[in-house]
Amino acid sequence: MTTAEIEQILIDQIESQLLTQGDQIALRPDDDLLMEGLDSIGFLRLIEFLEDRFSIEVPASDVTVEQFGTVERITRYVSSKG
Amino acid sequence: MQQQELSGPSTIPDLLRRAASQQPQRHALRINGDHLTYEDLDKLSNQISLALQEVRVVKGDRVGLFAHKSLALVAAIYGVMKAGAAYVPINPEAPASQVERIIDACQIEHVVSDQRLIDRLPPALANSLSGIGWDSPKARTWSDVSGLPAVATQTELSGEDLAYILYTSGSTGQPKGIVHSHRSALAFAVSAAEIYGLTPDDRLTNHAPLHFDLSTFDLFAGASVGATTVIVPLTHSRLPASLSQLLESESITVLYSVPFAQIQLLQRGALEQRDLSALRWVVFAGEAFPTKDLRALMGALPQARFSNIYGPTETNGCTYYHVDSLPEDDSEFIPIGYPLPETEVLIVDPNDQPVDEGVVGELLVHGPTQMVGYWEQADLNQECIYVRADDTGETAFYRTGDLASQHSNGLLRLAGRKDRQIKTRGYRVELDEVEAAVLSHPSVQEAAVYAVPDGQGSLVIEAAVVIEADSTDSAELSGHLSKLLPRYALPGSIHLRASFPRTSTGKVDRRALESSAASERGSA
Repeated sequence: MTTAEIEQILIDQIESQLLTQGDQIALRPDDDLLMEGLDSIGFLRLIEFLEDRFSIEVPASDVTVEQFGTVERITRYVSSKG
Repeated sequence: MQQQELSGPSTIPDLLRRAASQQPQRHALRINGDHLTYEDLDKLSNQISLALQEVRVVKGDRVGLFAHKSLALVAAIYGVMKAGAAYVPINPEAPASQVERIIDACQIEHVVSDQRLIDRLPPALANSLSGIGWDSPKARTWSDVSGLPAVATQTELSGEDLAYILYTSGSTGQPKGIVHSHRSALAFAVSAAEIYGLTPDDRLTNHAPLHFDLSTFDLFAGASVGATTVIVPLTHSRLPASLSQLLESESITVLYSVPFAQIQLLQRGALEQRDLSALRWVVFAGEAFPTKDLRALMGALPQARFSNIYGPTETNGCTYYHVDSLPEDDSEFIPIGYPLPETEVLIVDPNDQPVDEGVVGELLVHGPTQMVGYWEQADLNQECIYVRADDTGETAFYRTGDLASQHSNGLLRLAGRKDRQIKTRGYRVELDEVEAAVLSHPSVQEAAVYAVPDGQGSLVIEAAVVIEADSTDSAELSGHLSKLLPRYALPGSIHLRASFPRTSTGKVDRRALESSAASERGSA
């Protein structure tokens, strides 16, 4: 899977299911997910999705702002695991 | 003594001025590695109050704070108060309709905000507002503010003036604005600082959003002793491993939040990888901390003492309990402890008669931390007050709606909400006690118990639970409950869920949970 593909899967997933605000938001790879309204429950669901979709394991200590703050960073994280 | 009291602080800005004169160079606020010293904070808040006066804020106004947390936003709290106005925090993540309801209900004409958030409001509303933080002929930008002189404004303030108004979140009906004066805000800040022995060397977190009353402890109890408050950015409050990193790197000494955030820290915060040796107090409030989880967290953080603060927003924190030992039985609640100084509690039966020691009744509270009232809601203000008349005069107690009992040494124990006391098949059941029993099962992570109409004029109890993956099932849980509860109090059905919806303050969103259960029934 290419980086661009991973990025698109993530954007689709977050846009469709996870943003709690009703506003139409076109998510960009460098948007701050936490400021876009992704809450702690949303993050838990996202981690579960990553583990399922990409067959990786995400230890709790990896889930930091540095590695999960934006789609770009999560893509980098997922790629490094693949 | 009398003279000393007279010269002491009587308003929240007095706390800031005192800290700024006693230790101007100490960091008052920190966020993301950036900081304001007490001197900086005093000056910036002076500039903000001048800018607010330029856009015609006058004494008695309400000024909305509609932005994500930042150094400038907290400085604006003091700036608003120095201009003689009350601050009204508005959740920056709230839908525009809720923002509009609060602005209407509180007759707000001025806000401190930013371009992005203002642009999300309906244009008519946005155009009607003036204030600080966005580009408009009616607003001042932050660079305008920084160009103003940093001199103190002359607005006279007393303890009776209004300090802030907090709106209850998530309500679909008319919002309820809880009004606190400088006197009630100060009473809580000063008592809390004493109870936790805060000193200028302390480093507190501000984890709660500003529209949640927990934030007043972090900011004002901190300022009352000249300590440092580290603002937890949204990013860190939502990612437990980042929160624990912040606790370590900022050498936090006092952590204060809802239990949920602390349980997340325990489960996903990678605590074993952090050096949190500076942490001396872990304080929680807002909802009950399941005994089982608290036991685990106390085991993971043996260096810290734990404490429970109790109090509806209407009374601020009004009782506290240092958890030096835990109940042996995991289905028992953590006590709420003892009243704050000068605070009196009464426990009464449904006829407002005091109950005997150990008997459960409604908890009424009177004390200096009590609110002024609800903003322009005379009927509510009447309903929520019980007036006791005796030879000492009349005393107004706030009806908390919580059930509690008081024991021989004065210890208070909570027994759930009055409106969560139901009758099913003629039996009285405390839903919160059923909930505690569900939570005592080792595999249950979260539980919510509620009553729904059974279609035959009575109520049936249901439970929703979050469990560790595949660790148990409804049948096994029912078996566990039947050992703890009488038959009539057993949930008729138990729904397993992946997670619970939460309100913006981190509490379980019971309304959303119950309505999703109701729609499941409807479609079943």
